[in-house]
Amino acid sequence: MKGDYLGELEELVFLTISSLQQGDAYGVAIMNEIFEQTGREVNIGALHSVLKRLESKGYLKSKMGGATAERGGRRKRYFVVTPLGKKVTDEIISQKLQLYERVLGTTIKIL
Amino acid sequence: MIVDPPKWADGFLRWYCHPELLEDIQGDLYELYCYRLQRYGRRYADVKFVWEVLMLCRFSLLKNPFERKKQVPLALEQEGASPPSLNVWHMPTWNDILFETRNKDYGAYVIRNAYGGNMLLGFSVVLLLWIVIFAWWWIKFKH
Repeated sequence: MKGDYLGELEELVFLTISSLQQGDAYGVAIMNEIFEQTGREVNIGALHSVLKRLESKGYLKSKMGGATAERGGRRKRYFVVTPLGKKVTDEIISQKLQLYERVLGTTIKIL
Repeated sequence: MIVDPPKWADGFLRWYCHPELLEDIQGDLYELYCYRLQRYGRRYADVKFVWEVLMLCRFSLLKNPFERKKQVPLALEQEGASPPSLNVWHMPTWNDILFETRNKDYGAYVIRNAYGGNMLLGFSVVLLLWIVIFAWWWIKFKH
């Protein structure tokens, strides 16, 4: 569908949130996880922009969490994947797998 | 720990950032600032904070200057408050009335108070006009 596709950074952020434990995905944690997994430093502005876009598309939903002293008393916004987002994750994975299978010429099985 | 990033940059962020997103964005920036302060020192943390505030200035995160703020009178927030009458708090404009009627909680009362008054006034004017015209016709043609 037009407008439903994900950009490269959107896909990276989205998959990172999906991989994080539920209730752990907030701005800085997502940034750190992306850095640990891919070695890529994401700008906080780009990250929040992407999060807002994914939320407006209905793939994510957010809720405010607790405040800590190191955040100057500001609360965290935790993101979780919606059922629509889960469906999109499955589609992304199956599309990528199909392409890799064509490249490799063999069938890839997910354990 | 006291988080004390450059004040002008923090103020700039508060000025342009959308209020709904400000709290968590500011919190993330403070958390990163705190981490860099402990690990790399104040100078590096300050420079990175300012850079990130400037990089955050994106169209999708900006405050909308044309967005109407929801004006809920203070009395409504208290439990058991009576339904509002717009005249008590401010002189309503048509836009105010239209905006307030969309509220699920007290929209009906706004319609009753604002439109009800207008309809009564309109009816009174029509009735007065009818009496005047009838009186003029009665005087002119009957006598």
